[in-house]
Amino acid sequence: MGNIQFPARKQTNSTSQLNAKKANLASRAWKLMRKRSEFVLLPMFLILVLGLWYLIIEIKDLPQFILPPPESVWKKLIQVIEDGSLKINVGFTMKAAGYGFAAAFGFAGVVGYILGKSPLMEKFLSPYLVAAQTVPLIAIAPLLVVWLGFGIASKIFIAFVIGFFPMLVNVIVGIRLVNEDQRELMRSYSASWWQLFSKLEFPSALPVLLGGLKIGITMAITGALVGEYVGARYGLGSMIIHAKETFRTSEVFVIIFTLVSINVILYALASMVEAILLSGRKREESV
Amino acid sequence: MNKQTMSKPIIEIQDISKEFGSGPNKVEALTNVDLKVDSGEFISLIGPSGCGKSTLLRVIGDLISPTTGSAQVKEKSVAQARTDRDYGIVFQAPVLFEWRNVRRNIELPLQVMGVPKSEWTERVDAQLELVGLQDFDSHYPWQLSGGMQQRVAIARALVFRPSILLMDEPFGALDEMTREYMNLELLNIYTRTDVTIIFVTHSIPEAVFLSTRVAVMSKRPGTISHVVPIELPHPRSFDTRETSQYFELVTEVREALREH
Ligand SMILES: Nc1ncnc2c1ncn2[C@@H]1O[C@H](COP(=O)(O)OP(=O)(O)OP(=O)(O)O)[C@@H](O)[C@H]1O
Ligand SMILES: [Mg+2]
Repeated sequence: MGNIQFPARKQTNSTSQLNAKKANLASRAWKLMRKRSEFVLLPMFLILVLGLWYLIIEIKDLPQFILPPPESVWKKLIQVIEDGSLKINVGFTMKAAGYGFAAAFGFAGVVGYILGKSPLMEKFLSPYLVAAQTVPLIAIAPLLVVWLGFGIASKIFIAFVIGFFPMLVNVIVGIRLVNEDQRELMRSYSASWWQLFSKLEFPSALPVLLGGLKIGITMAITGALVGEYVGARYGLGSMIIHAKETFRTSEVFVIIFTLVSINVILYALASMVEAILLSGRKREESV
Repeated sequence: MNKQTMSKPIIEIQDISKEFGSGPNKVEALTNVDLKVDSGEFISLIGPSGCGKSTLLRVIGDLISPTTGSAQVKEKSVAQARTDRDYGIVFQAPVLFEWRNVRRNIELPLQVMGVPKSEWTERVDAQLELVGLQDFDSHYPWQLSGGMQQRVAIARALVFRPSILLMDEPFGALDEMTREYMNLELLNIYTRTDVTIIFVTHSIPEAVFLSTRVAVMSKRPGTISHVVPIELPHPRSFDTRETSQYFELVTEVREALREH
């Protein structure tokens, strides 16, 4: 039984090999492009969008408040950064989404674990959970704001409720998918409840759990925005409403781009955490 | 070499039956199974597929409970024996934890059973050497062949030095050469320690080569129909497989199996 070894890379210094080196460089660039296609495709996509944007304004001759040109959006961005209003509102929305997400994560973890372990409890509770899930949150959001106030509490709550269900489903699925033979092995060791959880159930469910986490983050932000649309003094949602009402369309664009960026960054962060936590595993279940 | 010194049997099974399901789906997996195993014995269970070999093993290991009858280990209940960590189990499939590398998989029982951390490396190294996987301790299960995974499972079962080893077709997935090598290694472990082994197999030669007794099981509902004592002298080697006594025993087991 020998070691698995990679073939050693051959070193050549002769100048006649320069062309080969260039070709090698090109093929490596090509490899990078195939492996990390977003580095190449994303800039191309942005250029395309900008081009189309100018084209539409040019052809249709649209007024500023319907479709502002990119440079006025850019100017607006600089302005809201400099006067600090973007920072305050991003902070508010992120805080609401963050607390809501944390609560949803903790609650979904506990409830999901219990339901995943006990089919009886699930049978008993799932009708209520399904019913709760069908309540149109957007419709009752105004009520929640009336009850919980214009402050951050109502936003946290809506973020919590929206983030809760996708994570709950993932926790239940993750616990259910734990291999029965592996459970028996732990049983043969007379493992304690905590050992079973920490050494088998949690690591086994982790890939599915992380999948739920990724969805949950985005959902929590959406939840916070919904709360802010309905009524708030701060937050990106209320900022959009104000900008729209005063026909500051370029500001609406700034906020939309900000939200997209936040989502992309959080998703990328979550993917990074995922890659670290799942290192060593065969990558088949990651989406 | 005679290891049977204790007078009281280490495993005592009396009139065990096991039914799965109920109504039209009822399956009678075991009926009237009696078995006494002395400390230090090597018992093979052999019989047609579906006759309840795995079920019997799982009853002894307290992974399922019998419908009727009693099973005792070291004069205590099988449940108590499990709590006392008397069993090392090797399943038909390797059942490794895919997020742990080979070393950490073998460490698992030590971790669960609270063996001091300072002993882990030495103990795991010894097992790795035994199963010939020294160079693979940092590999993950998916990077190993099926046979290598099974050897990790064997190392994991031996690392906490259980007094009873329950093995369910552990070598079924190995190629013939590795299988013979593993047979010798298992005998080696068996003679060096006072472990008692219950070993499920489909291979008559393997059963005869390894065991002190072969228990032949009949078709469903499964029961032990014959017990063939294997009086081949220890230590056994490749040469043992060429003696006439060995061939006679293989024939005897084969005929016991054919009666059903
Ligand atoms: N959990 C279970 N639920 C229902 N039936 C079961 C269960 N486990 C085993 N059985 C049934 O019990 C019988 C004996 O199964 P068992 O796995 O013990 O056979 P076996 O002798 O180990 O077979 P093989 O040699 O193929 O592994 C089979 O008919 C099987 O269908
Ligand atoms: Mg079986």
